[in-house]
Amino acid sequence: MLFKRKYEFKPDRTDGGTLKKLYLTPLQRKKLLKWGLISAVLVALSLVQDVVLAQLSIYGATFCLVPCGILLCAMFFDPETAAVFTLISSTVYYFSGTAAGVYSIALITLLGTFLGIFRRGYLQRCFSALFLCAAAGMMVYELMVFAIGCFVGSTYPARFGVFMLTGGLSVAAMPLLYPVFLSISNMGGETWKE
Amino acid sequence: MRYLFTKKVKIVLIVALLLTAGLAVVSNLLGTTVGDLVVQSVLTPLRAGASALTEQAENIYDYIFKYEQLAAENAALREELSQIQEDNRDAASIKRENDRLRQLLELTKENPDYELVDSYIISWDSTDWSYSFTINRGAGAGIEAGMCAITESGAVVGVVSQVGSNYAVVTSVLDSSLDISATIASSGYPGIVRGAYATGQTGMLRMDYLSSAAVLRRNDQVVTAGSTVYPRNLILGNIVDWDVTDNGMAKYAILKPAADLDALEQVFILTNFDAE
Repeated sequence: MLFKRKYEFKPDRTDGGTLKKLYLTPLQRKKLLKWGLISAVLVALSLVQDVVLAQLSIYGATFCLVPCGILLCAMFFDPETAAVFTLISSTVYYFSGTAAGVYSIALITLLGTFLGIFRRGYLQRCFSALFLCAAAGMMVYELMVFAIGCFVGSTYPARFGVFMLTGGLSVAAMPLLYPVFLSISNMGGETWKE
Repeated sequence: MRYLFTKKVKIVLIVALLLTAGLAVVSNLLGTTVGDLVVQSVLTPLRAGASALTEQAENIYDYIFKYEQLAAENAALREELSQIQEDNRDAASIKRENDRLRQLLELTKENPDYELVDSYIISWDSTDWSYSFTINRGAGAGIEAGMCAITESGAVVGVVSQVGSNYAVVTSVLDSSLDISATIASSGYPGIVRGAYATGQTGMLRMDYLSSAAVLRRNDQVVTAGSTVYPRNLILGNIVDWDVTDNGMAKYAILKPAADLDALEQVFILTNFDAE
């Protein structure tokens, strides 16, 4: 016999496996996987932003994918989860060295939380609602970054159009990220019922 | 909507503001924080990997889509290089000619009676025992058979043996059939110079019929004695060796030709001179 016969039934494992020793339920494992994948997507966005898109300049504007991804992803979750998620992810974003400044932590957390509350309170959970809220958050983020930059002297008023164009380009990338985050957020079943 | 603004959300927002303020103070005081070091040390290898992948992708893209453009650019650069090399060769040749003409000017200043026609060697007709070459000037330029050919420094090259309307054949001094009356410049001892091939020394000259009492020294210059063909004091070569003839009655000397016949490009034909 050259080839192994395929078993009709899979034999039972005699050992528990590594994850089983952590005493995680299947739902917990899926949630762990979900947040791991979200982190991986945000890291990938950071790499694409820093390595590839940093060399690209359209009328002086670039992309700002990481805040875009954080705000969009936050719209998929309930306000409490979104608040914690935006706080942690914006803090890591600041420490990565590519954030506009330390105020990005407060900006992204506040925008992500309030827009998540607004979306949950008044809108349906659908693409257009999530997209509109995330897009509004992205534009307000760029506007605030510009305002704070002018205040501290790191930019000047004539650059307003460039900041808005950056926000616009980032918003344009959101429809491409939406199906990714949608499929990840659906892991482990619906996160909440509306 | 107010019910969504739970206590947990408020705590998170307060923490965010406090964290922002705290990190602002810490980063102003310390510059780089532990968080910066940790996060960036994790991201750095990932960025390096992504950068390498991007570079590979760009190379593949360039290879696929820019191949023809690169090939055309390569061909254009090769042509340009070839043109530049040709220009360099022309420039080098012109420089050499310029140097020769400057030397010739000095020679004509010392010998104002010399009338010279410049010419270029267009072919060599050399066998082991005869040496002659063809130049690009002939009867049309006033050249006649029997005229002497020299270099820009006054070294004898040979004698015109055949003339056409626009070419001439010059038999060089290395040819055994050419006999030139010569003297040793330092001592004045006379002799006859001819090509030394017949005696087994290719590329050298031999001065025969030297007096047995002649005093010979290495590097002594040998010059023409003067005749209707050659003016006086044209350089033939330098003594490198000497010996006594078999019968012991005379001496002979071996000369290194003054003209570098292997590197000749241009020669000058003496069409007229004052044969005193």
